[in-house]
Amino acid sequence: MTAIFEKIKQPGDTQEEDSRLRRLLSQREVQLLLVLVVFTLLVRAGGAKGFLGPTHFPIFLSQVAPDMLVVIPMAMLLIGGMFDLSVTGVANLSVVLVGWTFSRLLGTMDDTLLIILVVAIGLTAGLIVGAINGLAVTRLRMNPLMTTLATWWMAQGAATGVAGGESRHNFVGSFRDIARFQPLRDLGETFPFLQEMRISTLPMPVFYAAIVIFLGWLILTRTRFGWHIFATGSDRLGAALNGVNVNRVTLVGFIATSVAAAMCGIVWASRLTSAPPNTLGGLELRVIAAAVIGGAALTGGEGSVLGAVLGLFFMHMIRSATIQLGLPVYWEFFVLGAVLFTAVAFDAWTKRRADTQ
Amino acid sequence: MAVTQAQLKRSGVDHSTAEPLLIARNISKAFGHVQALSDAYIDVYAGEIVALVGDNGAGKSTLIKVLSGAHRQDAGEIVIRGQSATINNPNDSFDLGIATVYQDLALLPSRDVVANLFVGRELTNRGILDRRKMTEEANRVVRQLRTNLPSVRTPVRFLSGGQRQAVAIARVVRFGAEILLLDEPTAALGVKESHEMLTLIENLKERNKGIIVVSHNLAHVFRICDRITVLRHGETVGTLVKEETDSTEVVRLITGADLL
Repeated sequence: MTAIFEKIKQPGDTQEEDSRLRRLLSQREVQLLLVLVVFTLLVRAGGAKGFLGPTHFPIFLSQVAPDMLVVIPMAMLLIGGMFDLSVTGVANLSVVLVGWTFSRLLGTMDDTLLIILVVAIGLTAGLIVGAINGLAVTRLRMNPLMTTLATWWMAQGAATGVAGGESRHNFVGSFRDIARFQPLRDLGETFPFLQEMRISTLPMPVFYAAIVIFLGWLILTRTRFGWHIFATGSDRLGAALNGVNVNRVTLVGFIATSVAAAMCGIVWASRLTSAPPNTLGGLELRVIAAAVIGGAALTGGEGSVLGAVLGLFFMHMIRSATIQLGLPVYWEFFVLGAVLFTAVAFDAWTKRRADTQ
Repeated sequence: MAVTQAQLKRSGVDHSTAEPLLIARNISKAFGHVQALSDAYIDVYAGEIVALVGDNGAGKSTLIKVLSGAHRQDAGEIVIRGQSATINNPNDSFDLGIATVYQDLALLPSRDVVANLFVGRELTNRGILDRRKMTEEANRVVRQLRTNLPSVRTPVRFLSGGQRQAVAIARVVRFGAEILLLDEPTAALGVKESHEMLTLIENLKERNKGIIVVSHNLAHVFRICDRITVLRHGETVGTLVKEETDSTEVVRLITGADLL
């Protein structure tokens, strides 16, 4: 390793530039971005000419957006040395509570008030499960894997239990706006280029996701709490001995992840205007895998918001490409698995190489 | 206590007039059925190095952790600069001017030197981390200690044992702590690095810090310390002035061989 730094220190422009390029290329985000570009070109060359083109891209963004709400806090939780399997259960519980509340209370109050109430109930469910996860892991020292597996099943069971085998359809029409409202639509009429670039038709979830990404980045890299997340995941005891409140970091992380999962559920309920208890499947592993592909370490202490964003893009691009290329959809999981395997193998390889230097 | 406070022999520091930076007396601490400390005593003056020695399980680390706020003592009194003090957590200890370098260093392997120097005490400007100031400050401290680190942006896991130790000590120096607790500072180091570390500790003494060093290595103890406090079975059995003792006597006190 010292050899690398001696090289950096050496004068001589070419060498310095060379090492700067090498350092840039050694960043996971940069590597991943290159992979995404190459992947896009390959898919386009393979016949799907419109892949991530001007028509497809806005649709793609709105498809990725609900997962994006969850992948950011999940990446932060992973960086803090924890992870949460319960998000799918929480999202589905939130979906069902939304449907249940609507079918019980529709007409008894003002529609706007009802929508606020519904959203509040969904998010509160997330808050409660997140707090249970966080307190179980920090206060009762329960294992996060088994704890969140248990709360996943409980939340999922509560969802199917409340739904009682039916999905509710008595939604207020304006509830759809949570997922379908296009905030830039009017702006697009004034500025036609926004319309041409199809930015004006981006629906709300893309903006929720943008806000979550920005907040995640800001917290992680620009605040003390963000550095405390890294410290906690890097060495929990060491961080605690230096005065970092590691239990608070973990508790806040679990709550944020669960609330985000609940928000994801609300967005789905709004988009579908229906509330089946199995709306979301595989959310937990999708976002954990995306964060890991993006460079988050399962052992904690490493990762970034940008990496998680790109990792999730990759997951959805594979899905999208499978469909657009007309490949048998049944093979999608094989490709996802192969990508995950490659990412983890690459990670292990770079770590091995760094250790031997 | 085999040696009462009145019997404590005095060393190079003028102990008759000066006030100790730190006194910990009658400290006891139990973990379940295990009595880790029963009657521990230690004191340290500004500008001296006190070695804390004892066999495995004698309670050295527990005593250090009581002083650093990682454990709360069951009974006993801690006096800092003449004032009775309560240490409930690491921040209390820090606020009293006590800084601890742990045996496992409590470093964050995936984080760079800057983040390690400032962990728990990050500098902010209107709520936002002041990364430039922290980097400048880190470079200053590293230069001050004349340590040879490749770059303050290097993750600590790429550093050698001696470099990591230097980072851990730089962290302590950077916050201007007056009382330093060093837990086995040379245990993981090679001969050359140990030598550098001991020199670094002597530098700190010249800066008038009060330093408590836990060590198994009596050669290192005798090279740098002024006094030696011996713990056995959680109890302070004596404090010896280096010039008036030798390693045979220290070993006898550590093992309790004189009692057999």
